[in-house]
Amino acid sequence: MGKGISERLAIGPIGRIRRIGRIGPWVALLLLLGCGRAAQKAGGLTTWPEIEKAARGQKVNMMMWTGDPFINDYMEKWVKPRLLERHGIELEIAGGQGNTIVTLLMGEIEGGKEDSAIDLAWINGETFYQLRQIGALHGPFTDLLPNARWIDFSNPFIGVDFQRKIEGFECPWGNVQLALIYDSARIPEPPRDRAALAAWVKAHPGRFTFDNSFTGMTFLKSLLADLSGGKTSLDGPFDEGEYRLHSAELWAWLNEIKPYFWKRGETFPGSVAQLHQLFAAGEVDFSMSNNDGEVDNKILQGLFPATARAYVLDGGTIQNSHYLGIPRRSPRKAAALVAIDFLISPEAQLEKLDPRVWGDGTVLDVERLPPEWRQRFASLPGRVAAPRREDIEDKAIAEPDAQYMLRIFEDFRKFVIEA
Amino acid sequence: MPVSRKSFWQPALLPFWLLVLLPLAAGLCYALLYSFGLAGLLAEGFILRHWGETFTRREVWASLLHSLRIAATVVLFSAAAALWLARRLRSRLDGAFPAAWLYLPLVTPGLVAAFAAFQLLSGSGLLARVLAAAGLIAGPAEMPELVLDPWAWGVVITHCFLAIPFLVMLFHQLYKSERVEEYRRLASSLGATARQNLWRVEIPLLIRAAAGNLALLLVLVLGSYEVPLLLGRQSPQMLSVLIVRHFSMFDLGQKPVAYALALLYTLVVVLALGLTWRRQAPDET
Repeated sequence: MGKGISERLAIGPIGRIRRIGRIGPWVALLLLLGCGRAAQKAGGLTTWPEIEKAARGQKVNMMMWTGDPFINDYMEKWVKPRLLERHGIELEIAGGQGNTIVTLLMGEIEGGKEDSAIDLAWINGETFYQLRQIGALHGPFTDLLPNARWIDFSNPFIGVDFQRKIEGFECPWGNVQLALIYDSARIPEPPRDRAALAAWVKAHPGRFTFDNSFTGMTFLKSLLADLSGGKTSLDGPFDEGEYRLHSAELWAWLNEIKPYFWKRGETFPGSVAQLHQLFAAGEVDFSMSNNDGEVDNKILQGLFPATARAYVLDGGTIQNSHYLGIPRRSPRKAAALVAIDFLISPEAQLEKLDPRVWGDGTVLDVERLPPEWRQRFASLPGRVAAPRREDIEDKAIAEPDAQYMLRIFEDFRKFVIEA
Repeated sequence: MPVSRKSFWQPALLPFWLLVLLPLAAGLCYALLYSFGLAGLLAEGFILRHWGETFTRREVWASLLHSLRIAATVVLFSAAAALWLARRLRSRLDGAFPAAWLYLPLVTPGLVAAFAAFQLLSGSGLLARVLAAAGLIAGPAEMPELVLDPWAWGVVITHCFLAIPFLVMLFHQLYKSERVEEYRRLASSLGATARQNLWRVEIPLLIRAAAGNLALLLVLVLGSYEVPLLLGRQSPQMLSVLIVRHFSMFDLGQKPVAYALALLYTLVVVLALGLTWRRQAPDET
């Protein structure tokens, strides 16, 4: 527990002020005022009972992706009433993810707004990278949370986000792995590796594509790791030479089979939701998901046929965690902390793991849990269409440095879409 | 429309200055500062790199031409269709029914129209299903490409659908206000054929009177976002889609480029409107 929240809050802003731009004295002044006030507000709360007491009666504005009815139901119907009943916290959810959050928080800082409109945000690796870049996150805070003791922060898939140590500035919430989705009624034996996939695409023109946003690019990252020599080949800081060499191979591989893609590879679905729709409508034979368990919940939603299955290529796919963060200018940090602690409690994590609820992998180290909880995690009704976690774990690739994502986004457009 | 220099500075226009132009000017100034690296959290101090990047990228010019082509096609097609409809339905347009149905697209939001177009025209859409059931096509791949297609037909069709009723109304009113019928009769009495009457009298009169509104339609389509976002392909992208993509890029260093692009777009719009109004001005003042 060591340092107090006020001390933690004071870290950082001065160093960033220099970068705030040449018209910056006013912005800088506002920033300083803002930080001063924020520090006062959280003033002196160092023990959990104090934080819980301060949180009671507060409202937490959470920004998260609201594109999945199952996830929304979990938050609205399961989490919300429990938070209110047990902790007196009113959870208010607003839709928005990734760049919406970054743009909002960046705008608040640039405009000198003292109190952020959001107190809690669901963030993924690339958003974490951006928010740390502009110093918009509060932290470190994870060691304040009682339930954090069940999390193994030394697990590289949890404690490291895009090759960057989380250092307590975000709390792991769920853990997922990229999986390809196909319809077993249409394809009894799906291609298992890169070469087989290329052969399949060539043999079935117009039946394969991927989205050119986060999921599709994560798929390309997985292929890049495979091309670079294996699961750990992209670990460590960004390597320009290695990237150039192997990305050239990746673009060559893609361009060779591109004419056989959906719409001859001249365009790609803009989002994974669009890809899901193409798959559901029978326009393509594959979809994919960053969440290995999503296929079960899409079948239960009635979007995918019951014969849909998910699997992982032998070359491996990216496994990553998603996290919860608190904006540095949030005026209700105590309540945000209590909400996060509840979301990582064994009870909330177990509920979320159920494919009938969300099917999101837990970030808890089940071995650390008390026996009765271990038992309950073990006896959860298994996955049906999703692969068993044990079977794909050895094919997991850690998220490479954020620079890889940045370059792949840019170069895929340059060397494949516009080529 | 074009206001004389004197009336532009009237005190009565003060609210307009304060409420409309001032925030707009402030926004543009901020964008300008941002694009030169003088504003923003990650500003580096005065640099021209972002502008250099904007002007030297092929995708920027491709996007500009693509957007202008789409906007011009929409204006051309919808004006032609509206003119035809306005002539055909002239007597019935004043009645409440059935011509009133023609105005239905006016109350359809762009996003809804785009979704409907997608559901209707995509490879696995309603039209494709009807054609497949009729045995005319065997699968989604055989459906002629109307969405996410290289020529952006989906975008053009949707915009035409939204614009035609407005233009029909406009032309219908202009027939009356520009006294087209009287000029027609005059031309006929001087020996003009029906064809000459159409091309030398009616169309020039209507187009000249509608030029300002057609320029506004061009600008509206040029800046449209949700329709090309849903129905357009990723390369080239229409300007607004390109700008928003740069705003929301993973690489925050692209934000100044997005501002530069937005300013470039503003310049194109101002030029387009300025040219149209300049040509119109001598007649009206």
